[in-house]
Amino acid sequence: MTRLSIEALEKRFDAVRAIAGIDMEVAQGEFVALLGPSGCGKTTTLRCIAGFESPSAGTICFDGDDVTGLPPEKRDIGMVFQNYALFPHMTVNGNLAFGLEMRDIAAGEVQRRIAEVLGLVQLDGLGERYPRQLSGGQQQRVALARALVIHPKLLLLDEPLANLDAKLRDEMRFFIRGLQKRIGITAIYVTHDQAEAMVMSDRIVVMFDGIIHQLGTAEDVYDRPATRAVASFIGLSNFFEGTFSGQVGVHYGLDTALGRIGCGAGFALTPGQKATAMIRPEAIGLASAVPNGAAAFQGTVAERYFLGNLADYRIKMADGSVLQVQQPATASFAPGAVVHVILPADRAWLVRERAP
Amino acid sequence: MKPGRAAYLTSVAAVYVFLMLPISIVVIASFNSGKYLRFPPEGFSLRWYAQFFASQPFMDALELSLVLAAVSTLAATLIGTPAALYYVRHAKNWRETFRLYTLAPLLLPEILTSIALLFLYYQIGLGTKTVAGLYFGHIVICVPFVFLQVTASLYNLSPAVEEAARSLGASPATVFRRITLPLIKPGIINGALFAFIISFDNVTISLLLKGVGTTTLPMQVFDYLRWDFDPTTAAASTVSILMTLGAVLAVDRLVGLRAMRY
Repeated sequence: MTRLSIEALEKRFDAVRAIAGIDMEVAQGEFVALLGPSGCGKTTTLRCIAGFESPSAGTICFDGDDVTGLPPEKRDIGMVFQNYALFPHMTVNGNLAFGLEMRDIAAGEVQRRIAEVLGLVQLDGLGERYPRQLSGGQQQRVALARALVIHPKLLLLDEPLANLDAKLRDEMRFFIRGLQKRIGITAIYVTHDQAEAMVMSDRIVVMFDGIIHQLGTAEDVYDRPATRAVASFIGLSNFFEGTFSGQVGVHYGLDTALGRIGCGAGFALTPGQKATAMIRPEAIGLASAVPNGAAAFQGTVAERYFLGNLADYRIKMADGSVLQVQQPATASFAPGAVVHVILPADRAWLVRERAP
Repeated sequence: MKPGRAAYLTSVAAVYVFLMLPISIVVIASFNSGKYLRFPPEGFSLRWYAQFFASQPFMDALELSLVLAAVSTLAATLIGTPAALYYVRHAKNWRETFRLYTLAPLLLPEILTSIALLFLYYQIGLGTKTVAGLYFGHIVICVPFVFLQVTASLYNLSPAVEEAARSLGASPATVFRRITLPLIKPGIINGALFAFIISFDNVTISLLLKGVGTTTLPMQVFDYLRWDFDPTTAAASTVSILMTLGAVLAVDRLVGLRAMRY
């Protein structure tokens, strides 16, 4: 159970800044995902925490102890790699014993711990197999067991599910999360898969171009994205550009080409300022008649796609813009129909154009 | 059987026949009891083997060739392996240049390499009075074989495997001993075998660089054939084939060719 603190972390590769100043705190036992597109610096951040990259600036502390200058073998971390990175010339037992041997743990205790961890990852009885004799999912669990058997301070996972097929990936998400909770270990998880990050983590760090755009719970990043980039990367969004018109009741007003829409905001704006609001497709309401009380904008159904549980619409608005709207498939609006589009103020959110 | 498969098997068989037939004819001819190297042999005899083993020039040449091959193999392995590690893992801007220089003895005609070395030896006053130059020349042409084989096995070894060992608490030296070395062992062994065989039957380098008054087995066979056409040379060739096979089998015994997988 270790607390991780990262302060002003920077990593330059020649002229390229892979990480351009990162601060974050991870509490004991917390599961934090580093999420972002490839090249955003999430893997470099993880490799700095592991000690495989030495930062150009900044500090990394485990429980307040500065480990920035320590080599990986002195950091007491368990790491799981994307391609498993099992030792192909050793059996499962050999793989699991390796870290324990490095710690000079007595043979009897090694046996006991291996048996224990094999039980945890549900691979009892496979200790004598070689990695090549195991399926991808089994190899992944051996990699997880090998990282956990040394009882590390931190569990670091670098896209561990990227090589598995979709069904197995789904199962492993819950398996890894369940195991991490049971053991209570602090875990950092790198992924470019937003669904994986949302399902598994306590908090998500969303990164672009080497900086953190948002650090928050899955609800925070989905419902209240900090920047346009976060909103685009996680889930689907409609954006409205306009002029901020100040507070209207508990919400704020944004004058757009469609008219004034109400929205929430997580940062201070001054009236007259340019701003962008986002709203998720499923948050938008459609009605055939003008609804009472709610602000509605008239539009025409341009396209309709049936998704099974949902229907996906493209609504052409008066200003020529096209909105993506998702509704339960039960209600049906045919292409060409005139509809009233409701943009609930409590589901619309002002986003920054760049990271704060 | 499908026609494609028949063609395939025929071509495989043809390769074996063309490779093995001359060798087996030499082996059979070495047991000839007649006075001349000919096929089919005239009766069975081991007299040419006796002659071979009783011949001081042949024995000296065999000894030199074996020691030369062993030393060249060892040296080429000790140079080629670190060179491959450096090339794959550490060389940055000049890595392709480095590779080209390391492989140069393989890419250039051997006769050029040996002439260049000969000039060098006279330039630095080493000359060919000792066998030192011969050893050096053999090492030079053996290094690329080890380098190529070890490079290939390093490319198959994901750096993440070594990093995983580091994360589990192993120092770089321990990682090399417990992880890297066992995993590139097949490449090292393959490279060493190549080096041994390349050195053992090399003619071009030996022709120019052998010390005065010394000779290697292939050179001795060549020299002998110029004056005598009796089957002693066939016996010598058979023995040298056995030596090469012996090297392969010794490796199998020592480290196991099955270990080639890992």
